[in-house]
Amino acid sequence: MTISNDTIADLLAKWEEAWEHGTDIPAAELCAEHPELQEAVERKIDRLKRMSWMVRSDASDSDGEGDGEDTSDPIIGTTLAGRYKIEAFVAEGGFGKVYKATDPELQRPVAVKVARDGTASRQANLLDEARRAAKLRHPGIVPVIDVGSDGDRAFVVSSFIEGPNLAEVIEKDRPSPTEAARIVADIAEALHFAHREGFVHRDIKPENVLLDAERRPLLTDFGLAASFEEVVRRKGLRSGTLAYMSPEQVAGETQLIGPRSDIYALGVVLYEMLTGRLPYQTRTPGALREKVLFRQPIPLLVLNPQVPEHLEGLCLRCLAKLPADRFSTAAELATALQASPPRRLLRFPLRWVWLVLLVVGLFVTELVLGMVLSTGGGQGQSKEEAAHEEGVLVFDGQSRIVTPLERFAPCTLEAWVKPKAYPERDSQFFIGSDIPTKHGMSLGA
Amino acid sequence: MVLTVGRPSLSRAVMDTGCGSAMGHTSELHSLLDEFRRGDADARCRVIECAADRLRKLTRRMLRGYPKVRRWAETDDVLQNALLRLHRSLADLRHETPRQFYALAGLQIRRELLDLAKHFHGVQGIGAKHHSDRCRAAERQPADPLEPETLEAWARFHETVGCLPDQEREVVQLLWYDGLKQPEAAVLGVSLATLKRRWQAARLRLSELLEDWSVE
Repeated sequence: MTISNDTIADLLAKWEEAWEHGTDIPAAELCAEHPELQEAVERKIDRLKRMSWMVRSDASDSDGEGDGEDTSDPIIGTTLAGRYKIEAFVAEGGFGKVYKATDPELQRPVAVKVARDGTASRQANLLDEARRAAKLRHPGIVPVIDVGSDGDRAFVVSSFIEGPNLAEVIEKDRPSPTEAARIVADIAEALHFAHREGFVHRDIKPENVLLDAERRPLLTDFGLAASFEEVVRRKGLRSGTLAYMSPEQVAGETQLIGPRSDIYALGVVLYEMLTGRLPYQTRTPGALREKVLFRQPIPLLVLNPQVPEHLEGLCLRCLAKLPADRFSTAAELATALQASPPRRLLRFPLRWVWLVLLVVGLFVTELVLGMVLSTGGGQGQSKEEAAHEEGVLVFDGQSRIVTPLERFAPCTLEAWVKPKAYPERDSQFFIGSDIPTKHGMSLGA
Repeated sequence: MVLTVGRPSLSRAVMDTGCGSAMGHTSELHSLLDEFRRGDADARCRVIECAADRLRKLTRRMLRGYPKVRRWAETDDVLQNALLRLHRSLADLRHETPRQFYALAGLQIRRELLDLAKHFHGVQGIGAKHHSDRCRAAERQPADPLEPETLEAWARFHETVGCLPDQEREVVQLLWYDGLKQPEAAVLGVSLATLKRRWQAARLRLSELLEDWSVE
């Protein structure tokens, strides 16, 4: 084997390792130090892609692709808990496998999610969560119909929605910015409802958004989210779950996980719909973790100049690192998305602009002169403004200092301090949980 | 020795041995092979059933574009005969190392698949009489352009593997036909890096050969 062949083999090995983790390194990047090999490497990468069917897992060796019949999955054709007749495999997610089934009692198709293997306590927790989620009733949320267990496997039954999920739509027929805003606003409204009922989804991603015949989004999988560690263990990078996790989820700051974590994930979904790519693309979970925690995403307008500026602003606000810098509620996000974009200044001929500026200038000058004469030369500068300038630390009442006391304790110490100049109302110290709870203590200023 | 080939009970039996993931648990297989060499009839039967299970999976994959044939194959004597032949050829082994065992198992599986492809595809083959299935196989949008879609193409694929240089063919037999994972394929006695390189070279060569054939 010649030196160049050795180098090509090494480069291909590098490419293949990244490919296994879901990243397709361009040949140009791969051959940055050997540009003369780029063409050959590109050709061979193409060949390896065409032979990728040989490296598929056992699961796909035996899949029933093509005829909708998967005889290798022992659950297909069986009746779960004596009621749900499992007909076909639909998808695989963080929770487990999803099947299409028939409920003979109600005579309608249902989706049955069968949990992965796990400890008895985990299965019990999943069932508890699903039972709680079954109480959620909203037109934008796929209703949970039933939960139960068959043997030692938990399962959750929900309505079967005929239609693609958002991931498929993004891949095949990416929505326009206007439609993307409408879809995310609809999801945000459904989310807000769930948040008010005390739910946090924790796994918002396109695969968990189904679209009905009118392309109206429906959220699914409430209460079935996996932890960061579980996702990493299952190579979640490929399934995409990691990419939608908020910084507080990625950092394991469980006490900070709340409705604003869902708003972050919704921001990632919006980013993907507007640009066709994720905010952070890396080759390893570790690198992704670092980017989610410390880096800023590429501005949307750089990737897609067609994105309206106000939509970019809303999206980036959702993606803020600190939960406090995001929208405070999903309803607030929905309202912002539904609001008309600010009108652009009409383009007047230049001479009209000068004329308008002249008139405004004269008016302002007259106004200022009048005020100076009536107050005796600015001695009435308000104490409020002074307070702003004198303070070494000036808190605006919106920012928070959040100090997690212990990594897994659901408690934080926050200080919301407002300068004296502000009206007294709302000024407070707050000590308590960052997770919605009835407990906490506040000291009014 | 009671053979339960060709019936669902075999799959269950294979699962019970811990070899259900297509020979995925090499360490367990190694201990089984040791017992096999010491003359333990049960161990021998279980090891062979692992190979038989792999043959069944690959057959199903090969026939997935031919649903009628696949259904027949699951109950038909043809697959059972192939499984019996595999059993017989492997049962004659006595003192082989894991490497020799896997090489032979991979070779036998490849030969049986080739025979099955020819059997179903031949002029008198069952698949040949059912054009609806064959049309469907041809109409399917292959996920990968070079993945064989017809039995004729599968037969060509298995033949082409036989034409690879020894080292590359051995890797294909271990990883594709035997279904070993790359780290488990250490039975070859080469480093993982070398194994990956041979596996890569084999697929590149196969892609060229299959492409030449499809152009013809």
